[in-house]
Amino acid sequence: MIEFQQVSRSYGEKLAVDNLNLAINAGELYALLGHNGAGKTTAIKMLVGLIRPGAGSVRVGGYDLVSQTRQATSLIGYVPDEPYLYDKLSGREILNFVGRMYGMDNEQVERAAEREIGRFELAEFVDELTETYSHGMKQRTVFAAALLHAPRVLVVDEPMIGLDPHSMRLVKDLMRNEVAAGMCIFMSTHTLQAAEEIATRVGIMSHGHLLFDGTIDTLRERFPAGQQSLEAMYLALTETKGKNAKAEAV
Amino acid sequence: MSAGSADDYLAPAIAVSGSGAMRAVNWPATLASLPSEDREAQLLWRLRYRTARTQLARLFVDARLRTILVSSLSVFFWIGLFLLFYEGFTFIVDNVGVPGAPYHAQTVQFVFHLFFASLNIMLIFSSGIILYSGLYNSPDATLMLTMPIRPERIVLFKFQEAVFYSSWGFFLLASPIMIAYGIVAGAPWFYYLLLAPLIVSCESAGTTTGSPRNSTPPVGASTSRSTTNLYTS
Repeated sequence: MIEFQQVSRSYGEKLAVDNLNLAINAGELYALLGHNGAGKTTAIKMLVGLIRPGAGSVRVGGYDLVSQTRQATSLIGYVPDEPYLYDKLSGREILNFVGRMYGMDNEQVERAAEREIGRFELAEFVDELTETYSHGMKQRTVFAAALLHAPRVLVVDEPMIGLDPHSMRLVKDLMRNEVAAGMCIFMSTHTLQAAEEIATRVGIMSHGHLLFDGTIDTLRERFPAGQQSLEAMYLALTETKGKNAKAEAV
Repeated sequence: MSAGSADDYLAPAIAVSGSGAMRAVNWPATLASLPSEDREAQLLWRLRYRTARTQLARLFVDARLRTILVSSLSVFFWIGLFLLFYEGFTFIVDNVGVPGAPYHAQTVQFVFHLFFASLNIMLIFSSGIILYSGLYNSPDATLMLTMPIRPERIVLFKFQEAVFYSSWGFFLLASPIMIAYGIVAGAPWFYYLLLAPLIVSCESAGTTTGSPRNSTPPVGASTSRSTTNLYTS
């Protein structure tokens, strides 16, 4: 469903992503982990069509993000790390706008909006202007908008930041259910606990390189007992391999 | 590991039924089912209309004093400029020549050239700054680029905004001089009618000239896709 083929991207002299090869299938929840500046957000921006790869190609559902952008983005729902909503519109108006832009008619938008309003518990505030929303309310509304058109791929950048425990549980359950129903989810996160809890596969990035790609169980096989929490393994991997990766990149 | 081909996901229609009874959406996610160019434009205009309507309504509720102050000062400024130009043109008619006389024409031509050239230079810079912030530093452009909206439509939407935001100053400055000259020269009614298209065309020219300043995205610009499309479309 998602394919990165020899993807590189640099900002001036700085290589943000270097030769990334990755394939993620439907029914997988892929958690991309890494320090700040590891290249996670750049990878996500290429995946949702915000920036073009310097080399290689990114495909979603077989469609190239550069040459077949509309086809590819119509399959994607995107939840950015900083939720943006039009301040002067209500949550419902935003859901309506997003649904229409994905080609849904009136009835489809209304049905889908009611479904997402119920699922994300937005009913209390969905008709108010979004400028009055808290961060968590905004995040839930953005999730609802991203899932409105029933995308095949959900791309989520730091989904847990700013959410209260109840909303975190809501989002985790939602992602689990969607993956069970066949959705492909690509998530970037610093919340290792959440990744450990819901991811079917993890990737660890450092200095633009993918240091590890596989299941958490596969990762555990590389470490002795007692050092098998995701946090310990992540730190061990990024502190040793990360330095080598940086040296190679330089 | 294969991630599937395009045909597996988009042909001819997608029937999504995830999460049990909660998801029973069936809608075709084919390219043909996405909004047409006209429909996209309508949806974006509707978005703009609703945003502007709410913003205007809130202006008189949340910031009444500021709104009244800005409006009053603008009217005061406009009247001041009008009187200045009216007196200036009357001086030309009284001391240089009546409309139609060679010296009158040359003097007025010089005044207009100087005035509009200065305004256009100002407009080029202001529209450049507005387009830069609208295309590269705007979260709503980022949101739109992640949806299946044609990039050229997004650029056009932002261009219209830039024309609007950079033109109010132009209108505020250009309309008093044109109206003052019309009155002093005794211009026919259609002169005033043609002022609006004249001012809009001057604004568009200035904004278009200002926009290529954004043709080279800065390092790390996240919305480089939109600019590429502006210059290829």
